[in-house]
Amino acid sequence: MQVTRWIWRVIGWIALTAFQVLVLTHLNIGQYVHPYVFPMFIMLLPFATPRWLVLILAFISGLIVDMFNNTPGMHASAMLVLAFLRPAVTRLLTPITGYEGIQAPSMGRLGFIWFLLYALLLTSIHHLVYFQLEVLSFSNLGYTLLNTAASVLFSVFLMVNFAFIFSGNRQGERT
Amino acid sequence: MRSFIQFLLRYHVFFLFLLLELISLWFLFSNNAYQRTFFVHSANRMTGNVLNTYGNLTKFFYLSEVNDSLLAENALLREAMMQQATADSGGRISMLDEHGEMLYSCMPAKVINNTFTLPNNYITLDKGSEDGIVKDMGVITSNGLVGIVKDVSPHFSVVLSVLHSHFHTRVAVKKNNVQGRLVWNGEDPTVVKIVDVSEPGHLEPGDTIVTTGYSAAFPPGYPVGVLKSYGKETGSNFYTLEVELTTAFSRLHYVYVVDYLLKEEQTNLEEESHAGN
Repeated sequence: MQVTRWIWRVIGWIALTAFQVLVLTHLNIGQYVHPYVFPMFIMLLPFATPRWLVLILAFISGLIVDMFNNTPGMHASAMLVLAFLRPAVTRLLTPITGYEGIQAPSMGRLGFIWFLLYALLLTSIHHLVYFQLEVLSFSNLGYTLLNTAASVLFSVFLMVNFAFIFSGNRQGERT
Repeated sequence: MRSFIQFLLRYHVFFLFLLLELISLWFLFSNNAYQRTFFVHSANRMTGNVLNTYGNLTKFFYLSEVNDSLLAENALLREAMMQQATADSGGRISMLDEHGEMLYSCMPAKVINNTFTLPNNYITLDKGSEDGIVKDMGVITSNGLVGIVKDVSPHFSVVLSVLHSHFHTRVAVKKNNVQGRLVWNGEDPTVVKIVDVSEPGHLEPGDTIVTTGYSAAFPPGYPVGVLKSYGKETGSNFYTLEVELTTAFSRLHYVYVVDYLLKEEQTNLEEESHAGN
């Protein structure tokens, strides 16, 4: 059971990364919109995943996207910050009933609002770090922040959609 | 010692985070070409092959567009051939000077990865050092500039796009040879600026902008774009020209890598005279 779940996770990871580097990066949506959805893979890891493993997975997945986008280390850095702050965000968003019996962040178990906030917070962290590293200066702060805000909204929109599709498919498996 | 190990174990997550973060920032800030090309660059074998395969799968959707641009280019080449250029069987096209001596040779290459919406853009080509591409060669299309080769692996090469903050080249207005430095401000992928122009003279929108022969990467007089507008910089004596690029970066499929055959001779001579001073 556990193994099947991890196999699905790896397939999801590959699919998300491929979608990111082959389609999303080349999509010309607008000057300010550069969505990144591949961090979703790290966001959806089970709560009990050892933190060192989350960090290493984040590092590797960031580096793979870096290789395709010619952005040496930028995505890896941003992903590490996301992975490092993930437990703090889950703690911040603890529901009144706690995470009792819930293994991994999911829209089905924790609700739409919870998932939306979770995705919004972590995506903002990731995008802030990434876009700041991309321009490497604070001179164009207004432009960078606008870029970040627009991209976060679009990324989260895509993630929520993916989460809908995903939770629909795996309803049977969970019970 | 024991308490130190205990301390490390207790905060192992934080130390791991710090270590990996330092590694990624090292990638970002180190300027070692070897590490760039062979570790985190799309010229490396794995990403190059993935991009190539994906390009082959999606090529079908651009066929008519590519067809049109190739037709237009064919006409242009035929015209050029009648004047002075020759093409050999490998598809290399040569440009000759007025004495019939070969000056530039162009090698066709396919674009397998291209971004134009980021603040710093790169293009990956399916030709590499085994095809004779070396660093600092210029890359052009049939009607405009594309960039300069930055890194080369045996089968792929990465091009620093005109749409990159590090791309600079000297260009001139064709009709009166007013010169300046071409830069991109990171926003619109169809517009670039020419800065540091001291006295522009009388210009009109629509004037042709061409390359100068100062950089060995591009043949002199090659089209760059057309003038959109120009004006004086606030608080300075220099003018800035806004230029619309002739290269359509959003529809880039096939490009030419320019090999300047006298480059070595030119740089050697320049170095010699610098050393003499």
